[in-house]
Parts: sequence; C-alpha cells; structure tokens
Amino acid sequence: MPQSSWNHDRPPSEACDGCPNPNPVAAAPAVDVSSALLLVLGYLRLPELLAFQGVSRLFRDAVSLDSLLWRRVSIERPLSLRLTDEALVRITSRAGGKLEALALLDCWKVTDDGLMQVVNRNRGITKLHVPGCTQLSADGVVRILKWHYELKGRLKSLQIHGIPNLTIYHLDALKLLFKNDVLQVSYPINYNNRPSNIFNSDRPIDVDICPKCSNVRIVFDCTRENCRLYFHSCSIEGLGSHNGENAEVVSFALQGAKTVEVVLIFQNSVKKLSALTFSARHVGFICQNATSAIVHIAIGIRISLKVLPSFLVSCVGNVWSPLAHRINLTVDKFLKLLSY
Amino acid sequence: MIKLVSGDGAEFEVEEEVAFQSKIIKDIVADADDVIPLPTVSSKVLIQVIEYCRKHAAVNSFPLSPSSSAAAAASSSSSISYSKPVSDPALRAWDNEFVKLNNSSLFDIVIAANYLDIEELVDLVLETVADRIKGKQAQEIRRQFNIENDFTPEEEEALRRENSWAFQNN
Repeated sequence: MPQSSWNHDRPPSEACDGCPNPNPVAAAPAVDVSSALLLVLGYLRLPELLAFQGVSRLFRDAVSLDSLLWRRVSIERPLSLRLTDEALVRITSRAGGKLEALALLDCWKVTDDGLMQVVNRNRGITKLHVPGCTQLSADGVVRILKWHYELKGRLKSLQIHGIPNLTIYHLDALKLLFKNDVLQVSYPINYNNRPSNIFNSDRPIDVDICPKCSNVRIVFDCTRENCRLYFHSCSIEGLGSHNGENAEVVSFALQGAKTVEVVLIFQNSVKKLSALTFSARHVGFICQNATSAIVHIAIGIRISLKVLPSFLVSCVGNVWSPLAHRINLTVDKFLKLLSY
Repeated sequence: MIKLVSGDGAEFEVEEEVAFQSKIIKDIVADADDVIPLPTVSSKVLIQVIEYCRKHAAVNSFPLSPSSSAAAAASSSSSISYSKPVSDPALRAWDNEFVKLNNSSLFDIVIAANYLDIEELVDLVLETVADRIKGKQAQEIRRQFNIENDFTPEEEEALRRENSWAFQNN
C-alpha cells in the first residue's frame, strides 16, 4: 500500500517532457529554477520551508543544512497547535545554537522544560515571543530568563501575554533582565498601530500593569486625555530651564504614591541630549517615598516657567502618547539641570 | 551615461543613478562613460531590470537633481519629492504591477538582480514568489516548478517521520 502511494506521488518526469505542461515555468532552464528557488527559501515561513524539504534531495539538504534559514523561527497556527517540546527542540536545533528570535504563538503544548532546552542551547537569543502558550508558567518563564541573564544572555524583546498567572512580581523581575532598560517607558500599545511583523515590536515587554484593574496584561492606548492620570496629589520638587541644552526640567513627587514620574521636556531634538545617561537612584533621592520611577520625555513642547499643577496634567497626557521617547541622563547632568 | 551590454550584445545607455541601483555596478564603475558587459543577463531581462531601476532611482532621489528629474519625467512619476522608497504607496503599487509576471520571468529577473546586487528588487521578487508558494505541499511545489522527485521511498519515509508533527491531520 505505501509502495503504490510513492509511485503515485512521484511525477512521471520522463513522460512529462513530451506532454504539454500547463505551467510556463517548464520552459525555463532547470538550473535557473533551482538556483532561484534556493534564494526563495530565505523568504518562506515555516510550513512552506518544511514542505520544501520534501520536494527533492537538493531542497531537503538546502533547508536542513543552512542554519541561517533557522535563526528566526516563528511558529503560528495551524502548526502551533501541534508543536510539541520535542518538535520545538528539533526545529530550533537547526540554527546550530545561533537562534536569534523565537516566536511561539499559541503553542499550547510547549512546556517550561521545552523552552528551557531551547534557551539553554541558544544563548544568543534576543527576541522571545511566547504569547498564548498556556502550558508555560509565569514562574517558569521568569526562572528560565533569569538563568539566561546570568549566563550573559540579553533579551531585547519579550512577549508573554496570555501566560497564566502573571503578576506584578513576575513583571518586576522580568524588567530587571533588560539591560539599560530598567527605566523603560512602557507606553501603551496603540490599537491602530500593531506591527505586522511580529518581530518588529520595539517594546521590550508586551505586558504592563493595567491602570484600571492592576492586573498584568496588554495595556492599550486610551483616547481620553486624563485616562492614565491616577495621581492624587502633586508637589513640584524641582523646576528649571537649562539654556545651554535648551531644556526645561520638571519633576514632581507624589506623597505615598508607588510610582513617580519625572518629566523632561525638550524644545529641540532629543539628539542633543542622547549621550546623557541617568541613574535610578537619584530619582529615588528626589522622590523619597517612591518605590519605582519612570522617566518620560516629550519633544517639541514649549512650557511656561510658571508651571501650574494643571499644566502637569496635560503634560503627562502628552507624554503617554506614542510619540514619547525614552532617554537616559547622567546623574551629574540631571542634578545640574535640577539645580536651576 | 553608463553603457550596459547584455549577453546577446544589445547596448543600453542609462543614467548613473539608474545604474547605481546595482551595488556591483556602483562599485566597479570608475569612469563616467564606462561600458559594462553583463554576459549572463539577456536583453529581455535587462530591459525589465532597467525599468525597475529607473523607477526606483527617480523616486529615491531628490527632485532638484536635473538628471533624476529627467528620469522621473521619463517614468511619469508624480511623487518624487519624498525619499521614502519603502513606505511610498505609489511606488509600492508600481512594484506590485511590476511583478505581475509568470514565475519563469520572475526567476530570470531575480537571478539578474542577485548578480547585480539590487537588494530591493531581489526582496520584491522573492517575496512575490514566496507568496505564490504559500500554503502549498511538497507535491504541489514540485508540480508548480516542474521539479523531479528524486527521493527513494526510504528517504521519503524518513522525512515524513521527521515532520510528522507538522503534517498530521492534513
């Protein structure tokens, strides 16, 4: 029975030369078709890449031996529903330990063990997207990524929404694993601006703390200007303008608030100040009661030196827009700015 | 002007900006009026590649440069004020029209574009071909491109076992 199905699968190649072929490609020289198709391999998604393995010996070897084809692996439906730990490890092993980006979308069968094996064998992985992988645990993901970090692995992008039981503690632990990104501004995801390529997101972590329900989840942008203002009281700690940098600095502390926002507004391009770096400790110093601090920057907004609390409200509203950029300042520079 | 000579001896004079869409030509051109032989590219394919390069050179360059605006006028482009090749919807629409060719023509173009190192054109063509392969099984791909199945039954069985997780229930 299997024998006959092989014969059936195989195209009658010799007979084909004589018969009219419906496909115009047949007229092209075979060598060009193969070399062009070998170029196409780099543009295929996983299902077609696997299908190409079964086309001929040439393509089988080209697909399985070229580790460059396997550095960015993305497994989507319908394959994601069938992907087991074993298949995941086998597929990713083709990168030869050089896997850079892995996206597992709704891979319900993949467990912490499987992910651990992949991360273990691919220390250079920088993008890990595992949304909707419900067999993964929040504890497990934190454990795997902490371990990855300790072995000098550095993630640039992590997507974990849909993993069960994510808490603020998991999120805090994960944020610490992003180099230089402790002070990351995680502005909300805009509904209309979802990236089409799943690897193209510039957010380090996809989830955030919902301002309304305090759960860890994807937080979408809100059109209401004051939506994200959950401050009860403001006190202006420092205010100044630095002529040389053409910048105006406003910081405000919230008595008893968990989060403190330091807002820097630059009238000119952010490039002028991009070399500056900023330390979290000094935000803590300025805002004594805070347990965490976030730095926001808005560009091109002119503000009056006579700052009123009502101004701050609209300012923060602006900062939450997707136009907000992240910047780092040196301690000295920051204190200098504040001392005006 | 740079003169390109196809494999079948046809000569094409093109502006520098057009020829320089090819990184390889940009690298080897020493003189403004160089003659560059392209023995592996047929005139039919070269005409298509030049058409693409002329369009993209016009859109990519600033309208102030006289030669590029001439090229732009030649390709009747209306949106040359912005140097945003990828996000320009008019150019993307033009690209989409350009690749409405049969597979064999696309293959000829991509081999030439790869040889001439015109990255955007290689991407455009290969993405188009990849799109035409989308959702197809091995058997359909063989038929589409007239590739012979040279596996032994044992090899085919081994492949089937290896990828069984992906192709079950199909």
